Amino acid sequence: MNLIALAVNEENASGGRVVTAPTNGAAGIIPAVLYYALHFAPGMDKASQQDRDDVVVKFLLTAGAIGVLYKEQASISGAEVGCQGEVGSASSMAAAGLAEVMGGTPAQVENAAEIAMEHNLGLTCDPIGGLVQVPCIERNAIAAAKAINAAKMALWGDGSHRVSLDEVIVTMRETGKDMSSKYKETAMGGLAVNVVEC
Amino acid sequence: MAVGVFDLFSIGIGPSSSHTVGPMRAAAVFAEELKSSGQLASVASLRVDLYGSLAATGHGHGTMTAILLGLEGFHPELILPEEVEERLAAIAETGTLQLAGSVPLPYGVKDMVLRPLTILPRHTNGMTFTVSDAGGEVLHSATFFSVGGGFIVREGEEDAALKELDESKKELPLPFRTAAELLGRCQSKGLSIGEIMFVNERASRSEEEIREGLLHIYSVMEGCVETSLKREGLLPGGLKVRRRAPDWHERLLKESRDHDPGYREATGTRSTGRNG
Repeated sequence: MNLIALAVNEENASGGRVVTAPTNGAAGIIPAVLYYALHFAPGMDKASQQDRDDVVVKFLLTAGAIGVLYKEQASISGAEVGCQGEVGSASSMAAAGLAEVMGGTPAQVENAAEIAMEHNLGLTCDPIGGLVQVPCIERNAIAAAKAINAAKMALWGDGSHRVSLDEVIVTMRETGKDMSSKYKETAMGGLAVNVVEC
Repeated sequence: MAVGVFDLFSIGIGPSSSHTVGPMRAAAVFAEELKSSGQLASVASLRVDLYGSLAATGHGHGTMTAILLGLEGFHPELILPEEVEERLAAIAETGTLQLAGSVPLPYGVKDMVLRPLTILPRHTNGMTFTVSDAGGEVLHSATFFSVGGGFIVREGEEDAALKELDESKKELPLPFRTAAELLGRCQSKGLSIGEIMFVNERASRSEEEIREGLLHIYSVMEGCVETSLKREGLLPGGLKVRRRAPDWHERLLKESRDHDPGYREATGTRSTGRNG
């Protein structure tokens, strides 16, 4: 899973062909979690090609539905709301996709999306040298792990939870609005100024 | 159009959807407008202004070169990585851009006007394209915003775009804006979240197209991983970040499926380059 996330984002940093998921900077999370679903979800070792295709379609449709919510109510732009809008949204979309293909109910799927976003709130976008490399590449692998954990936690629950996905989405938007522009893809704050380039 | 699964997952080039894909798309739209309005032949000069975050981090994100490609008429979802390299090398060598693929103009990255401290009201990722004729008369000018995920909005059309979005949502069989609405739809229809999305996608595509389209998206994701694993060495950009995926892949291939990950022995495999 780490390998897939890193490979996608290293290719992205090389200017190669990638799929926005939902952005380029966060493009490794959904492929990594989908790879995990295809290889490690229960029963997948005996799955036919047809079954595997079904998992891909179901996963991407569910992740897409959650992506619509972020696009509608907040933003998926690092320059607008920081990394929480890119990696956070992608992690949330991936968690929902995984929960759905593992047989989650709509409430569990929503819970998975909510958990993943909740623990990416406040994430800034402070790329060193304005390049989409550090911290972006590694962050995709970590966010993919968060997505898997969020899906598992949601599937162990019954779908009822205290904080709704809508509340987290609104919180993300407002946190992003309050965030100093130094932390919104300008390379003027955070790691971008504290790590010496050479 | 309402935001659909194929808008969120679109194929493009790296490294940034808002700073590479969006600007390229905006530049391509501008070039097409010049072509269809018949003004293209009269164009004698070009000016590109980049604002806010695009100006501040554009160099690291490949914004400027993406715009050059867009102005030549290339679209992010269609351009091949080979074409990117070939055209950029040609532009750098000749100092000439082929506007909309046909009108040669002396123009390069260094000619772009950068205004990192000017944030346009709609969004920090603003850019303005202006072309003039030989007499210096402005023929056409347009400002676009790259609002993330490769989506672009033209200045002055923000409200129209929102309205259109609302209108198109009315055409969806099961529209939703919030998670509460989405869950409500699931409950009343007895469908899963993925199935609700599928019903909505069916409004603009056949079942077969949706399935094939999504499988194609995943195959591009897989292809991206494959290409990446064949590369080696440091990433471009001068930060000296080394690629880790190819090494890790080799390492994993040597391990059996149920092998203990052995974190302790995994340290210090290579010393060239570094990581965050």
